[in-house]
Amino acid sequence: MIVIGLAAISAFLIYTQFTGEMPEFVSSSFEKIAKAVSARKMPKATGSIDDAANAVLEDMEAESAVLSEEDNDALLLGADSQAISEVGDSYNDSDF
Amino acid sequence: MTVISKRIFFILLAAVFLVNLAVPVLAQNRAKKAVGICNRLEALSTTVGGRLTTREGKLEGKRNDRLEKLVQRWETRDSRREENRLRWDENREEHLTKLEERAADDSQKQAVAVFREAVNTAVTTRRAATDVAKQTFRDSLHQLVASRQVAVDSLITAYQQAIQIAFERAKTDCAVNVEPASVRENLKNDLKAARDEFHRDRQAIDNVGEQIQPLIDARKTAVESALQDFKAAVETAKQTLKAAFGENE
Repeated sequence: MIVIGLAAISAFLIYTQFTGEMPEFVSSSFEKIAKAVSARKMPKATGSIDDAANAVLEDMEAESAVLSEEDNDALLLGADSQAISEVGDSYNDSDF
Repeated sequence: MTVISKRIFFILLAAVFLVNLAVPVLAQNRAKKAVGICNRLEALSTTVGGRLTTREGKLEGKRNDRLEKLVQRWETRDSRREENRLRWDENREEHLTKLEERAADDSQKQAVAVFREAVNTAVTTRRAATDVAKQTFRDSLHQLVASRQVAVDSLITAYQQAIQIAFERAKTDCAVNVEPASVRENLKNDLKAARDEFHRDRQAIDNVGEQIQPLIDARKTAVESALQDFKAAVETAKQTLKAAFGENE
């Protein structure tokens, strides 16, 4: 089980290293989680001062979840790595 | 001689025979390739050049995809953020209305009005600060993409020039009847050196993690600071309101 887990993690790291981005199913899962967090159930108004203050703080947490998704965008910077490497390999020894 | 020794002797004899046959054929092939190099220069140059153009096109496609993906993600996220803000504004309003309904006298009503003002200001300030942090991050990311593109383009130009120089040198050598084997070897070495240099320089550009991390850290620090200020403002407003309602802890 440990070996399978390590193999899966290695495959994931190799993928992100070479493509510069997360597999679509992983990034979409992150998006779904963040979406769920940001679209959480609204706290009911009770007339309690604590509840009113907590509701405002929950708004902050929901927004932070959306904001943290921005980190995934950074991975897109390296999305052209493979294509750049291929340009460099335009010449290969078998051409001779 | 035993039977086994005889077998080994014949196997060795056959091996020597085969090697003697193969070596001249291989040498002949190499010589043929070397002699033909001057005739094949144009075709070889076209092959490498064509491959380079195709791959540059593929790279351009990847760049466009990346930009489209970024813009699409940003638009989706911004519209989701706006929807969420509206929902939370409505929810906050419901809480504030309930508090107003609870206010028993003018003094408590005034305290709720102060609370309302303080909370609304805190929310507006926090949102403005996180928006600035978000936009700064996006602008910086955009800038990184652009500067990476410039760096890679200059790398490709240098690579193209090196390839061109290598073929020109080979053509010149062919024209002055340099030994074909040397022309072939020199061209091969020049092209390999150009490719190695490209990959070496590319690695210096490809340190994505190192370039991105400071941006992520700066954004997180700015957002964290805004959130701390926000929490402090809400806590102060809450305690002031509780005092007015006689609910001090």
